Amino acid sequence: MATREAGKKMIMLKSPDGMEFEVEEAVAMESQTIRKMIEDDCADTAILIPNINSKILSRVIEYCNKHVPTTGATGAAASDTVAPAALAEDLKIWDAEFIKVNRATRFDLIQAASYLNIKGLLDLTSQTTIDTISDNSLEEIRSFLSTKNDYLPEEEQTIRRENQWAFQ
Amino acid sequence: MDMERTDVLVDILRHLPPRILAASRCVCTSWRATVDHHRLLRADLLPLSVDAVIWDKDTIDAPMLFARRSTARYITSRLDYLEEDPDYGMYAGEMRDYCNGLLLIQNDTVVNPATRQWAPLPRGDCGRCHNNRYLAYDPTISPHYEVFFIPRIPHDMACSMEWPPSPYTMYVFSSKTECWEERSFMRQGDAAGTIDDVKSHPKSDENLYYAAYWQGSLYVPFRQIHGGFLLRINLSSDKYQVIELPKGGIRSLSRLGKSEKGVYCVLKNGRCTFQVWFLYESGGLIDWVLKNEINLEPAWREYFEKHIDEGPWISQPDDQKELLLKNDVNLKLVAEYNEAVEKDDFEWDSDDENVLSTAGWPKKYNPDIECLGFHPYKEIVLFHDHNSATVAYHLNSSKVRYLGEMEHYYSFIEISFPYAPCWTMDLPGSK
Repeated sequence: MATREAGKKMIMLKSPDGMEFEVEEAVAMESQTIRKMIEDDCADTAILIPNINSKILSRVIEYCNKHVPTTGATGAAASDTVAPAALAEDLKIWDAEFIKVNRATRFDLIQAASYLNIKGLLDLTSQTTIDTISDNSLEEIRSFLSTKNDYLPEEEQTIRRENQWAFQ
Repeated sequence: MDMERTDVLVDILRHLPPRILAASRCVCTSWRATVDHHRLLRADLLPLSVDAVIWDKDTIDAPMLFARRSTARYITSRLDYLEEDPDYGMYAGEMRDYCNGLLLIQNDTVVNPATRQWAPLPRGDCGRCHNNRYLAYDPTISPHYEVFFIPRIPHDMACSMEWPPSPYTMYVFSSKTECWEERSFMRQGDAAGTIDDVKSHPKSDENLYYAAYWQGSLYVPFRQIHGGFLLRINLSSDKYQVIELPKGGIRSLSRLGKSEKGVYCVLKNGRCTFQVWFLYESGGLIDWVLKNEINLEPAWREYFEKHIDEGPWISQPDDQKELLLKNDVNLKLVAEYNEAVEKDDFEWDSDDENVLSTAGWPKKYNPDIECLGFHPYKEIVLFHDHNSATVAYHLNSSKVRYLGEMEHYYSFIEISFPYAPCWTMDLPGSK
């Protein structure tokens, strides 16, 4: 149901566990997936977001609220008085706090950001994983991501040889 | 943890640099399938194979290319596109340094000859200091490059002062920040000597020779009266270390370079005899290990007796260089290039009839030979003589492979680099 509150168009988002979240349309449109639904006029009733539980969805909305241009949580008044650089710095600090979550939540957030197509959130959530993959040995990567090595030793050797330069 | 969801995995892997992607293929079968299916790793665009030598015969003309036949048909060594005035096109571009497919040109530009992308460097505080500039670039890790300017000894320094100093002030341009930055590097360990030691050498710091870039460190040779030394400059920690060159020192240093296992150097002992040393680094321990004693005389004698005149490599003809400038460079051309190189019957590792023996010690024929540099990923060193015969020497098998005639008109060339084309089209700051 698209409703109207204080002159702003509102959108209803529904999680599979039955929770409903009313958000400003501009905030919801931080998600390219939802933007497309709205633009294609598929958003007359509440939008069901599959695969994303209410706990994660509320965090995603929190992120979008903060990051939506000028009308976010800091409000239009703040952007008039605060320099853009300071605002960006403030966002960075907020992001760093936002991402202080456990591993399971982080992967859920990556999935949500990926499905909802929110680039900023995807970059933010995957960065820690990218850093881990970049800085650690294969064994450490597997253990961090709880991924099993399903190669035979000789298979792994062959694949390693295909790009020998990367191991020099 | 549900990392099997491919869309999530693709989003994460897409952010990884090629070197890490290549390693990620070894994590498990689904990761490899994801990397391969989405073509995330484009090893075909990376400078992994030496396909040419790029060289300057003097300080006026554009660089020349001595290359595989297929390479000579696709990559031009002319740098006309750097010049606004077309009449000066064929003179543009004296090379100052080379690193993983990128050239640093005297007129303050960074150029990729394969893609013909180029980026101007802004003027720095250090003025127009052209010598002693080095390029640090590794597209398997990042599309960004850095340019180092390492100043010579300032005139006002007291003779008794330690050299190199700590802190050592250098100027670094980063394509990430797009500006020059003054950076102070602190020395770890002993100095090489004093200012006096360096100044008493007749040509002490005119040239700093060829450098090597490996695993985030730049290795730069210096000379002074009691033999030479290297600076091992760590780019991320702002620290450096002095490493003495092996016995024989800088007077006989032919070349420093990066090859398969790290940093190597070639020392010239006689007209055609060389030593190849490997810089062994492990857990803080650094030491030179003698890898090869090379005598190239028998190979050269055999070469002249056999009258080998057709090698797999050729000097790029002038008309070809000009013709190539008319073509656009795009991914379709790159695919064609890679196909042509594959069809080419030249493989670094194969045995062929032009492999010469190097047994025995020089007797009659005594050619004067110089080193042209290293293959960055295989233990191979290139050499050539006054008469332009050029060979590849395999450090492990001690075999010599004749490459061809690199025309340079009976004089030693000014500057040369084994060239591996880099086809990534993302040179930061490019025009």
